Amino acid sequence: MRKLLAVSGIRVCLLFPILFLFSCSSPDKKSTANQIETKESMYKVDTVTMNMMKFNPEVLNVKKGDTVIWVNKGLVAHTVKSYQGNKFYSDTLEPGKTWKWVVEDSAAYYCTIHPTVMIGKLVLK
Amino acid sequence: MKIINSLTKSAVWLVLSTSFLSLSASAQQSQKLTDPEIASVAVTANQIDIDYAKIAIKKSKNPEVINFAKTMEKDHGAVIDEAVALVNKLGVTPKDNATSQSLNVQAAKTRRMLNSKSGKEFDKAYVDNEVAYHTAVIGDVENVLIPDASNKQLHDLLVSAVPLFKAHLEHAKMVQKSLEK
Repeated sequence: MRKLLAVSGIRVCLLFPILFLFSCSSPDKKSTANQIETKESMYKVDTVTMNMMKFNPEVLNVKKGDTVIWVNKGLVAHTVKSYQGNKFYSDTLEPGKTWKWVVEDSAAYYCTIHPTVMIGKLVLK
Repeated sequence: MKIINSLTKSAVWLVLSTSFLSLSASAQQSQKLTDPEIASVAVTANQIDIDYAKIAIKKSKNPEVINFAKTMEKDHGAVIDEAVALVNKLGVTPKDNATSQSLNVQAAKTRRMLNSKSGKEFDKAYVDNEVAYHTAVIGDVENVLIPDASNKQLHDLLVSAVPLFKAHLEHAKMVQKSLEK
């Protein structure tokens, strides 16, 4: 009987700190995870395809911090360059290549190789 | 007077070039082109514009003309690469035909005309020819090659090339306008 009580006592002594630590640390972990999740969900990633000599969509609504990825799905190479203030200018994107930019501001842009037809716009909301 | 004569000659040349392409198109309407013939015409038409571009890159001093010519060289090269990859995949051998032969004969005359000019006169002749050539090629691709293509992948490649040629036409018109200033 004594032996049984002693074993039970040891079990309680061992379990208590574990449960205590778990109860203290668990909410913290959850809250950190929530913070990351919230931060990540604040920014979105949009894709603009380059195909048939057009940016698609031609006009994209974005928020500051969002990432825009341009994907060249066309036959020939293209570029992505902002009209004003040299906000951004991609490398030459051969077919199949991509380029991304984190939005800081609204910007109208074009393809420097095909400037008469390939025109797009990022509108900051 | 000399300038007027030169301009008249250029205009007559362009009318002849354009009407030639239209004639070749109407000749094709009577007999449907086969896929190997379409592949040959497509590669020939693109190669012709690459050859014009090479002359412009060598002869022109105008950065806008050179930039346009470099785009033509690269873009039409990419279309040829796609066409060659496709015919290899399909196991089709491009077949020389009356249309591709006529295109080559006319192109040789145009190259001689371009090589005979220099300076601003060359720039104008090259860009005017690009406007006329792309206008004619777009018409031929839309009205002859696309309707005649039997293979879906060849048909789709021709369809996807049309917006590119239209973009080139708009670009050529923009450069043409800037040369008038």
